[in-house]
Amino acid sequence: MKARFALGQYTYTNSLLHKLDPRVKILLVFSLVVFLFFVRTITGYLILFVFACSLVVLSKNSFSSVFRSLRPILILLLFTAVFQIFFTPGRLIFEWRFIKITAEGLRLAIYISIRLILLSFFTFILTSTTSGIELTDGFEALISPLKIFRFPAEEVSLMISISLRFVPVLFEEADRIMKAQMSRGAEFNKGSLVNRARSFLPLLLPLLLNALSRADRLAIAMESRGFVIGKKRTRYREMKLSRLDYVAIAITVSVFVFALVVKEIV
Amino acid sequence: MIVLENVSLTYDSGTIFQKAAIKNVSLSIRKGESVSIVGKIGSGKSTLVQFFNGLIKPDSGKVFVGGEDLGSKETNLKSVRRKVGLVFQYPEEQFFAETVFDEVAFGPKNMGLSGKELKDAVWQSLSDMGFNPSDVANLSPFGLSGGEKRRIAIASIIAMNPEVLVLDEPTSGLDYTGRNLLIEYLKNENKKGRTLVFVTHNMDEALEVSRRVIAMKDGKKVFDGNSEDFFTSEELVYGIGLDVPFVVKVWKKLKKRFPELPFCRSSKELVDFLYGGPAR
Repeated sequence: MKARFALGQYTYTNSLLHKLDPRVKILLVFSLVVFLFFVRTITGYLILFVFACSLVVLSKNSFSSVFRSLRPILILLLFTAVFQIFFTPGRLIFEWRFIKITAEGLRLAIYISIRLILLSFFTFILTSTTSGIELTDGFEALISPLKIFRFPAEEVSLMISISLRFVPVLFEEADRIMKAQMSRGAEFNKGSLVNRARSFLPLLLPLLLNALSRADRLAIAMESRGFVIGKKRTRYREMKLSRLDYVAIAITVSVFVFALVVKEIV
Repeated sequence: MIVLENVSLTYDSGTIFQKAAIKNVSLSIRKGESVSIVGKIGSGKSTLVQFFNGLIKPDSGKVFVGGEDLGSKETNLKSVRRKVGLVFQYPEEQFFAETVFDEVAFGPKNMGLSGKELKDAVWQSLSDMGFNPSDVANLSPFGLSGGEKRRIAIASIIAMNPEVLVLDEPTSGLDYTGRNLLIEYLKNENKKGRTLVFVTHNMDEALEVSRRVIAMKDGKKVFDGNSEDFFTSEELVYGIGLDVPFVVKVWKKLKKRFPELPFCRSSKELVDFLYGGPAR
């Protein structure tokens, strides 16, 4: 089993969406996700859903990978939907012993589910078309105005990019150490809870020690290549808005305004 | 002892990361043999040996250890792992115990040993790896030198008394003396009857340790046979992207001058012959 971490869904398919400026993508997806909760009609959501689907097609991703990305939030989705259905007061439409379903509850549950699904659709499109480096570069550019309040924008984005970079490494290493200890007869899923917790010590301790020594080596390697915290660095990739970005902004904003103001047709 | 039948494995199948790691490999390793598995980095050597103790299961094909089918539900993998001791690359990175004794005892303890039996197993494996057990048992394993750490890690596998000892690149990152010591101990373990599988990309070591060599390229087995035949054929060795051992290069040149020179597996053997007896 190779741990393929869900955050690293970036796949290079050289689509139009890959060419967009990461700042634009982050801002658009962020505002889409926020304003998603202001849409009040099913028609509006339908429009957004069609929009999201056409983005998936445009990004040259397969729909199966989109649905795979939905899997982790499925439980959350079910949980919130069930809660909304059963515990929202309002007009009763169904009653059986202690189970009461209200029209408002059903409506809320449907809305919440649609919102969560759309939310993960849009974030999937962002993470699958934007590499980790682009994401952090974009993020850094977006938070850099905060520097006037002495917010350490560069350091924060560096921290994010290093963590993102090493998450898969940690997973692979955990897999390797687990296998090595299993070769020495260790079992990780047997016995009582206490025993199980204790059996993870031979996994966690080496993992932590290796991570610390790796951090040390990384720091030395960065310093020996002239990295100094807080010092101005130039960039290999200069981010520049192109005509494509303006088109993307225009389309997204107009689709969204349309979804907000459209009247219910069903 | 270990038999692989048409074993194949693909990583991340069904996704765009799909990569065939092992392609239709069959092989058989007999009891008491010493086999070196050679190949470039990424050729599938490390993946291949993880089949030997059931850490990974093939997508297709069968793996047998001591006649037991590892794919069958009745097979106890723990007892298979006791039979086939696998030493990972950089095994000292898996240390976690406070003392050398506890570190080495981890394996045999998991196998159910305790008391005097446990102590004897630890003591024996430490002395097999060239330590004076009472000197090191209470030290912290983290404070030892690289070569010592490596030998402790191997001792922790030997302490389970496996019939087969599989080592993945056991000499990488060791200094010259550490490497030589380790090779000597491994050869010695094989002489005592333990089956040895030695994964390496160092051709000189492969030649020195084993009479049989299995060569891997892009997940396929491309050679399986006598290491002398393999390393003296430049066509074979260079075809896989490997290098002819230094000893063989020198031996070939010398052979032209001294036709009576027998094949030499290490520089020591070569020097011994030229000086007419063990060298100084």
